[in-house]
Amino acid sequence: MTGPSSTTRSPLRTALLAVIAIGLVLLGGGLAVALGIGRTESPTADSVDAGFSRDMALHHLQAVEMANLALDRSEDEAVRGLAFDIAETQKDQVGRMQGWLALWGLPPTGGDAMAWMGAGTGGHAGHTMSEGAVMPGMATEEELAVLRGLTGQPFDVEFLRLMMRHHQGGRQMAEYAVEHAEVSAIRTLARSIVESQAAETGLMAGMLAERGGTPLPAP
Amino acid sequence: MAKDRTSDDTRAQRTGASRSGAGPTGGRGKGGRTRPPVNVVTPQRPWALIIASIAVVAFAAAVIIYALAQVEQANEGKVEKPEDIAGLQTYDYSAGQEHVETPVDYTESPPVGGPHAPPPQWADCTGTVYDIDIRHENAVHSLEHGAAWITYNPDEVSDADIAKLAELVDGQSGRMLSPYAGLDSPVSIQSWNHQLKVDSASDERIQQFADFFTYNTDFYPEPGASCENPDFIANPIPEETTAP
Repeated sequence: MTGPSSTTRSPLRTALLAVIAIGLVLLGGGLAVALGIGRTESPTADSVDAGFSRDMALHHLQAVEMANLALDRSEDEAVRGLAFDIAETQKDQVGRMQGWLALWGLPPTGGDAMAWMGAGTGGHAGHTMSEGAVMPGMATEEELAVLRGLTGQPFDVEFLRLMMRHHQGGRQMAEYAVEHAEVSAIRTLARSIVESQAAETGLMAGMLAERGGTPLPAP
Repeated sequence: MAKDRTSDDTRAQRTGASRSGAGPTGGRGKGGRTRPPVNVVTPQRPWALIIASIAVVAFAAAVIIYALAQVEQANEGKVEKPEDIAGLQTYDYSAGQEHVETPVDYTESPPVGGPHAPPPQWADCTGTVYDIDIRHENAVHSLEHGAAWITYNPDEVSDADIAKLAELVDGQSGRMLSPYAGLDSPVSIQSWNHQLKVDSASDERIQQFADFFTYNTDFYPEPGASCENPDFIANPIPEETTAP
């Protein structure tokens, strides 16, 4: 009946206190997860993700505009087919990107165009854009005015030249996003843009040659 | 004399015993002997702590089990990734495949990717049911646009089977159905880089595949591309047979 005489807590008490402490830590952790504490923040307005979404959406919208013009007045079946594909695909992708911006609580426009790209990397020192072009490969208002004034095969040739250069510029933007965007959905979309527009550029080069045209200088 | 000592001893023992049961007491031995006070802690079980720890563990376990059960129930039968579909075959055609006007000798039959007809010559896939073996190079372009394409061997399926497959496709943008001559199983469903061959038109995996892969932008090269090609509905291009 005489148990061990001891001035310290028994091992059993220590063990039980440890169990309770661990249990409370686990419950606390579970509560934090349930409350969403520690979840990744959404991209900020000056992030690559947001900058790409804003700028590529605007870039796409010009392609859609030129493609819709081709659908309206080209009589060349292959050109019309390509224009339909570009208009549909890029319009849908604009919706995607603007949807993400909305989820992140960011406006679809604003911010310095292209500021998200090449900041500090100096990778664009040697790249020239047409005067007045906001983003790589985009047509200026003057160039669009010329396009709108054309019909027949001259229209088709000019359309293909402008669209090829537009794709080449967009590709630069998309390649940058593949490397530097943080949100995986952005990287995935950017990668598909790089790859499918490369294929379209090849197609357009062939079509241009067939119609007696030559490409514009790359952006 | 001896008797005295004995009674002294027993008294000491009894006193000792009672002392251990009763907590610390000062030495009160008769005869003025004082013993140093000894703290004897009663080794009772710490019931409060035991109950508290059991309660915490039980509560934590209950919460975790409940949460897991909720998740389990929500995910039952759900296809969350390709591997959840039994028997699925996966291939690795990269995006940006070439556009060609000429026939392509595809490795897979039915094909799941590779060079294909140029825009806008994808086969219409706006929930279209074809009754001819549509040209494969046009169908592959539809896969590039996110379509799920169900094919069947016309010699091995009944009209009722075809009707059942048509129900999955009819009017559902992103899907198309066509017979496929020489198909090596009764039914085969494919999307870009993915294929499932099954023996029965009633196999539930056909719908699982279709529901998972149709327009699933994680798995095809051109998110946003259109399935529309009304010219192809009006005049579907047949697959060329070897006979001229």
